[in-house]
Amino acid sequence: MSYFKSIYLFVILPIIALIYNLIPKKRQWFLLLANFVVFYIMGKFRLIFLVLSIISVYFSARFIKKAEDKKEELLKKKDADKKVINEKIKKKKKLILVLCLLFNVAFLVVFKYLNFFSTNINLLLNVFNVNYQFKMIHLIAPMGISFYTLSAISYIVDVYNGKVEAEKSFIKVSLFLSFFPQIMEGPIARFKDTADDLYSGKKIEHNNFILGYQRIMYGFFKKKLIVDRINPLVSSIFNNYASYNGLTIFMGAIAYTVMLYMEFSGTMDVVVGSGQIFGINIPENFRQPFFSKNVSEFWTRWHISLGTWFKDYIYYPISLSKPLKKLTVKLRHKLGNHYGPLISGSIALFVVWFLNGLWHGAGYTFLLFGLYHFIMIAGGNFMGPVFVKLTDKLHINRENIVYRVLQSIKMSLFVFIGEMIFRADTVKDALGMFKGIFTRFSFNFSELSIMGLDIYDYVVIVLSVIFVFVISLLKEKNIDVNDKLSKKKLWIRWIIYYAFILMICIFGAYGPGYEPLDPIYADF
Amino acid sequence: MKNYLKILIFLIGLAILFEIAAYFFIPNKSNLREFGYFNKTKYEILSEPNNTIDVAFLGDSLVYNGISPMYLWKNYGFTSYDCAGPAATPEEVYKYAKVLVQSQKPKLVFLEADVMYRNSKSLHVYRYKAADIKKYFPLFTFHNNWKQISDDEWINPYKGFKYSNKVSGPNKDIHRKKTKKVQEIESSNREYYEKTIKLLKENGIEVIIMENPTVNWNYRRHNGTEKFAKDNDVEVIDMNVENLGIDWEKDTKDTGIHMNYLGARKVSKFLGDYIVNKNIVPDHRNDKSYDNWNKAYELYQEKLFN
Repeated sequence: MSYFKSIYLFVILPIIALIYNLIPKKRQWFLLLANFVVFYIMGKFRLIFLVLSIISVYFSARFIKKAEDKKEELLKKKDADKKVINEKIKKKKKLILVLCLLFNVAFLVVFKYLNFFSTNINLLLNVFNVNYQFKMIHLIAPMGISFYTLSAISYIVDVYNGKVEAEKSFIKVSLFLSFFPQIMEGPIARFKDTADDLYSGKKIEHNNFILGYQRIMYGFFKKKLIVDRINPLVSSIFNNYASYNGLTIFMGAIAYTVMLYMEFSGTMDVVVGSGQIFGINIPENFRQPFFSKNVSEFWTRWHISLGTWFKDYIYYPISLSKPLKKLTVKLRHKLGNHYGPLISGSIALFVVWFLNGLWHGAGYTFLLFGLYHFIMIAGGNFMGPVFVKLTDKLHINRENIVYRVLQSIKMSLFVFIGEMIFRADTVKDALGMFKGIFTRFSFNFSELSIMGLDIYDYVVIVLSVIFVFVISLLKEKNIDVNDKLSKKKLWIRWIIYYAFILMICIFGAYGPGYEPLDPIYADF
Repeated sequence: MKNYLKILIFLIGLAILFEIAAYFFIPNKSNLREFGYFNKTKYEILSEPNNTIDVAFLGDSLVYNGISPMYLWKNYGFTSYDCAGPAATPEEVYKYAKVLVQSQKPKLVFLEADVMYRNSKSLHVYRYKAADIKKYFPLFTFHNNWKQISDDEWINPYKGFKYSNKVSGPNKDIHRKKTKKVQEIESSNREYYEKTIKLLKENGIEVIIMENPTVNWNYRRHNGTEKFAKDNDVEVIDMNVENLGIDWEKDTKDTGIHMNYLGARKVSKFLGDYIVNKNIVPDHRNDKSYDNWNKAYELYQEKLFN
């Protein structure tokens, strides 16, 4: 099930909004119920695992709070030995945290990585001539497990670190982890981002409703005019890359990146828009990533919630761990203030990108994708000062518009290659395509016409991408078209709405001959 | 309250706009007056010029997933059309047959037996009928004609067929037990099918009952269909017992219920041979007036190679 289904956008969502608004009070209860209804309709949800996750983090957080309270109580006693009490409670809290983490991560591992691990162990056993093979079990992962598990982890870790108060209301925690627009593809929300709004059960404001639907239609536009239309091109190039010229393969990498961006950011438009209708500020997952200066910045603007999650719960804990701190001090002495911390930081960075690759899927292409980004980002960190010196020597103004555009183009080229690895079926294919780009460097126009797209399709795709580009450029300059539009006079708005909707209905790639692309990120 | 009203007015305006816009994309407007605006979407065959179809396949999703009129055109040269809707009931098939004989003069019509065993009052059927609301907005069906807006005559390369390249085999054993038991056909279902057969025969059309391959089939149904065909004096072919060479793991798109494109080719080949052997349909492939079918095949090929 995809959020782009008309039944979700134009039947289920408005009906939920309508009933939500008609209920006089305790709307949060209805919202929770609505979650379950949507899951039921979407199917394949395996609700039990989500419920187990919710129960585990809710009670673990409560236990941590209880331990804290007990500490306060003990410390109040006159003859209390502060150190012993602190140690004891800390140990207890840690035990609760670790158990809760293990419980949640275990589901993720079993559903997503078990077969990958067993395949590899079996290969190893073969190599060492051990006559035993692990059986493959085919499990269907519960929808959204990669997303809600990370949200659940963030909550319990924040409670442990005292950043978030352990929530008393079970409903509130449930709402936070199960809000229907977010459950399938994120963003990976933090408790403090959405929980209060979700629980408040505020009435829907007309302006929010309008803003929300405007945003949803923008996402729908990306999906119907670009994603579903470009999909045949992408799959024909990736499925038969060996029979295409280098430039065509490279075009495939670009097309896939465009498709992935439009699909995922379009889904986020629908998700954020759905939240907005209910007055819930779901954090943005994209911030015009293609205007970034370098790959490192790109990843702070693309799938933001995943990046910040890795930063807060993997990168910092590792780089602030005792052994790494020691190493930093040592290296600082030997290599100086820039390269010293950089090397130890790179160790944490490596773990982040290893896990980032693995999070996207159990496969070597994803690990290679992670490794590629580690090299790109670490390389950028090391080369950064060199470039600064070089440009200074050459008297190049780094804020110059031409320089900035060139930077973004260079960054995009790196991203295209990264996403090509991401999409390739196997590592061998990824490398084969990479090689193909450089060794068969020619282009044949006729190749464009045998990929299921005609000239009209190309025109629609290019114009639509330009449209999205312009909106993004304005956003980059702090002009929010969505907001601006909602403030226009009614008749102007309506004319624009009608024109936009008609455009999607006429030029959208749907109906006979088109198969909609299944959501890409829902599989991760 | 004012806001609800605003939304309502907006939606009514949108619906009107949809209907106006649709007019520009509706193909073969010559029969618009005769059949009405919304029937053009409901009965897709009305997009074809009158009296150009040689063979029609009436039925449900088994028909539009399993039989490719373009494959039949390319390999046998006769024109055909899938006149089928999802979870169609016998009453709907009858209505489609009425439209068919008013607009076309086919020599041969195939009726899918699966329809007779449908519980017309089941939730499953209602679900599809709810989705049918789309048919009141022809724009959603015909919008893709914007690409041909400057051409004289618009070509539909599918002719009712639904192409799918998905592969998903059945997760159960498809071994079928032979039996002498006969599945009963609900009386209203039987009535509508008998009415359909009568109507078609009155129009000089030869009727054949067919059973497309599907995992849902069994010998009780086979016997029921045979009996029905005998009672009504029509031919019957059951492609579940014929040797079509279906590879259930590769040729179906949704756990064996419907054929994908690979399966459809096998079904179409079988039917094509069967029809040509009857020697009642012409080969139009070199007939200039059927040039649009050759063009349609080119479009169809283009779509298939992705």
